[in-house]
Amino acid sequence: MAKKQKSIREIFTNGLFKQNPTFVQFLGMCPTLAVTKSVESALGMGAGVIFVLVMSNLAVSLVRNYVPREVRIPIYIVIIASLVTILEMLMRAFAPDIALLLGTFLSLIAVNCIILGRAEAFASKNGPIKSMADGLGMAIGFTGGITLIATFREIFGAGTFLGMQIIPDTYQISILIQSAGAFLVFGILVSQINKIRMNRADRNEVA
Amino acid sequence: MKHLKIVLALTLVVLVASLAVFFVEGITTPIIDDYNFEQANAAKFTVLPTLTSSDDITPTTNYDFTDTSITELIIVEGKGYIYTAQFQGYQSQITYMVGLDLEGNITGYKTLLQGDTPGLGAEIANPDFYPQFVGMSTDTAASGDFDGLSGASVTTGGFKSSLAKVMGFHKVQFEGAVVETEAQKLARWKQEITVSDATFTDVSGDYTLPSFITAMEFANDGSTDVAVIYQVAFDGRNDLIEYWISFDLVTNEVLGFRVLAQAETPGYGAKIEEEARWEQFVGLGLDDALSSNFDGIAGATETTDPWKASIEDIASFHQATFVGFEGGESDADKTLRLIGEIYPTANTFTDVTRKYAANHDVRRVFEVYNGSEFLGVAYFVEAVGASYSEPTVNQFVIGIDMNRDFVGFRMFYLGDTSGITDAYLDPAFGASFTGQSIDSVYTVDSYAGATFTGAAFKTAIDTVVAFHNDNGIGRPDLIDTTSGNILAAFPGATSYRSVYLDVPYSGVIYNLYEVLNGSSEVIGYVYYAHADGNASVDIQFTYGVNLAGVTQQIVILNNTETWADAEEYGNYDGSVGIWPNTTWLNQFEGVSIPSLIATPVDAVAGVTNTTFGMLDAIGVIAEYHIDNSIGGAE
Amino acid sequence: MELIAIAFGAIFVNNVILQQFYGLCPFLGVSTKKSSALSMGMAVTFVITFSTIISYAIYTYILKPNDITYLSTIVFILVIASFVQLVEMFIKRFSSSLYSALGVYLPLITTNCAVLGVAIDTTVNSSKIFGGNENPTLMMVTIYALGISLGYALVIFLFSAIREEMSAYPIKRNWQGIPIALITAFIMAMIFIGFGGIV
Repeated sequence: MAKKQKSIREIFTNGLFKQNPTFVQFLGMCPTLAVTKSVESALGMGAGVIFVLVMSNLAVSLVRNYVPREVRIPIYIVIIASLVTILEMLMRAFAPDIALLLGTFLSLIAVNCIILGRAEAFASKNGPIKSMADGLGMAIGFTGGITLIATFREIFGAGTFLGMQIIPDTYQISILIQSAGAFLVFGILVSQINKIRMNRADRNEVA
Repeated sequence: MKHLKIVLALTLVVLVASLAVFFVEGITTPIIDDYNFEQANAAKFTVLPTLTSSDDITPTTNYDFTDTSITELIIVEGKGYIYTAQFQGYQSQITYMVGLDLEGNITGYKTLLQGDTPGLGAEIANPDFYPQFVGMSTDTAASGDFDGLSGASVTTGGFKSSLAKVMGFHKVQFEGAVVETEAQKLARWKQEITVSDATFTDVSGDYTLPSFITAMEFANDGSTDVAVIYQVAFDGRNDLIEYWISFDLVTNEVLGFRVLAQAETPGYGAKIEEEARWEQFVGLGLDDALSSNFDGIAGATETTDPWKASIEDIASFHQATFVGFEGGESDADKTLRLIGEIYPTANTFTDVTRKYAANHDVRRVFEVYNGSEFLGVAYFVEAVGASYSEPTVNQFVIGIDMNRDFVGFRMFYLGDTSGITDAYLDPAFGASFTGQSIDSVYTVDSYAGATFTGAAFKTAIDTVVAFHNDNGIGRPDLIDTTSGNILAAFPGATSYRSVYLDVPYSGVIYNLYEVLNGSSEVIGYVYYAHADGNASVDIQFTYGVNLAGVTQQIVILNNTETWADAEEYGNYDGSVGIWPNTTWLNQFEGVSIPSLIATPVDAVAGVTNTTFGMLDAIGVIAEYHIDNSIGGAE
Repeated sequence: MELIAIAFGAIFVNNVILQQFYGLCPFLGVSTKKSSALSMGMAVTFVITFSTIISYAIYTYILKPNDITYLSTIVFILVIASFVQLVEMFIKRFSSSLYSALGVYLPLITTNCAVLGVAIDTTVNSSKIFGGNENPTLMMVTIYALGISLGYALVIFLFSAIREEMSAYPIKRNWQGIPIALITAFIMAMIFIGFGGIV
């Protein structure tokens, strides 16, 4: 591990690309597949994860020096679950349509491995500003990842983008917006991103 | 100290978290409640577009919603009605809302909640499903005459039935329509399938009903019984189906058909309940009913097939019970005339068919008397004939007297190929077996060129004899022999008792005894039987069989046969001894009944009448023993 | 009949992994070997069924009567975590063989969203899975939870069998691991769509 202090910027972009939770770390896969039926629900889930992850990283970072090691995980869980509960209520009050769209997956943010993972791996060892930057980067990386999948699924599966019709009914591949299609689109996207990453790595070696 | 820190940290975190949660809860709850209220009511605006926020939408509590599937009704003053109803779909309870205007037309429909299979039952919540209801009348909606959900027959069926109940409720409560109770409907149906203002008498107890008929009623028009209603049950694809079918007692045509209960698959077998399908039964001839010549349900063979079989069964029962004959002539009279020819001295014929289980071949049974003297019985028989081109039916009358002899035969109707089978119309045919005992190995003539027809008659006559015996008609009193004769056939037996009345009668067998040893255990059986021999007197004998089916002793009880002839034939090596002490009989003893059937003992040249007579009788006993599973024999 | 429909629907039609996407991380992570998939399946079956019953009881007798159902998520997650902890301690103490078979999978289950997902679905969102029935009986809930976990065990086991078989074949570098697993899951999900037709 490099001991060199990373800048806020590096921390932020780390989650966006190099350690992208969706395509590189494969964290939080349940929502990755479940809420990518439409771009709208992917963005809604993304917003929820941004809120919870930033806030939980902040909270965990703030209490990191006062929490006994033995009970740190239960405490993180309490913090995260409370934040999710708050998120649930806020969403149901101010964005009820999206709350309905996300359904149980809104509550399941509480067990999204990204959140607990970042709390444990980063926020418990870093200060509040860096932790928030890490949370924001990871959450935006996650949002970007699921929005990309949702874009493919919605456009080719339902012929729409954010509800606007762009492909006529006849040319849709409706399996893509069914559950099964999520696996297909995600699998293809991962394989293509792997290809790009591997090509890049190969080139580096040659150079 | 460490523990205190842990507890403190936990408490603090939980406290702060709780505070945050309660704080947010306080802000959001009123907003969420408002939203939920709007959502809940949004559906009401959709289904009744004339609704405004100033209308009172308090649900009414003035009605009983039992068995209507309605969960809530809102009466909007001057505008219409909003019903919420719930039914069981394939996978889930489905709740929907439907609005009606004051004229009873549907103003809107919306599915509120469902959890059915996506793509199938769940399509009930597809907004494309809704518009078809707008403007629909209660009658149309109640009849189910709208698009269902393809591939989701259970959900569609549940929905249509629920909507029909809601519409029925609405019509009764708000359109003054009278919806009849189940009992009223059944009463109306009875009139519809018989004559109006008929009175009904349950006559189930007066007839021997086969198991598929659950009830039977006569309809009386005030003076006579004009029709009969059968309540019939049969196994459909899913469950028992029950229906009413009525026949005119004069023309014997079907008057009507109504389904009382069914649980077939909606869209398939359940179509048996469509009233349009019942219409075809009105005026359906008995012949058509007998051959189930009516339209089944396309695509539902598993319902149609048992339905058709059931109609055939009930038609045959009706024919056997009330018709029995073909054609319109004085068939009944003709039958009685023919019976009169068979029994010239008879003057009273009593139809006792109802006393016996229905039989497809033996259609009518008559007891024949001369005054008070019981002469015998006569049967009207309808039997399948033999033809190369089509199924045919032959009908005849045959008499069996109290001596268990055939007393006469009259052809009633010969359906087999005319020209070729005409010989059977000749009285000589009936004469060929008249006078023979039904207990003997009687022969029925068969004519060259039409042997199949002859065989069909033989089979039919065998059936009559079996019917005669099975029903104990004219079964003679038990004939007993001496104790010595019985015990001699079963060494080791010390006592015996007759069990013949527990089993069917056979002409060859006079009596059948169970034999017991000293400790009162049943050890076997002894038949007391008779065989046609060479002499004019029957050979009588007792025949012991143990529980394993092994022949014990054959004891010949009379001795008028001549046996000497056999000795002239040198090729017979078992002729030691003179009848009845011949060693020929020893060949049976110690041999099991199945072996005797599989490899019969040879007859002896020169004494063939005696030996064949014995072989025939023993053959009858052997088959009887196995057929009736005497002592558990198989 | 209703219970059979619930069980069939839970196992096949609404399969927890292939249709509802609950519990995907362990699904892709643990399912490379049949033996570990089987252990995971057993552990999940046990935990889902019991934690659902406990959650149901808490929801029905505590949260709902006091009108604090908004606390469901937080309460359930604590209950599940404690329950898993308890089970782990219990089997560690009383059955070392069971512990060596299942032990390592138990902590994984805490973050398996299937457990929390089923607990929430059978209580807060029960009208969604029981078709508008907001008061399902304990029997219905138990059957549903059992069906869901059996569906989970079934699919994860089938999947591991396929992946074990597949490991013997050359696969393009960029398709190795997760991508090919996802495509396999896609084909299985397509097959499971067929169960939806049994109406």
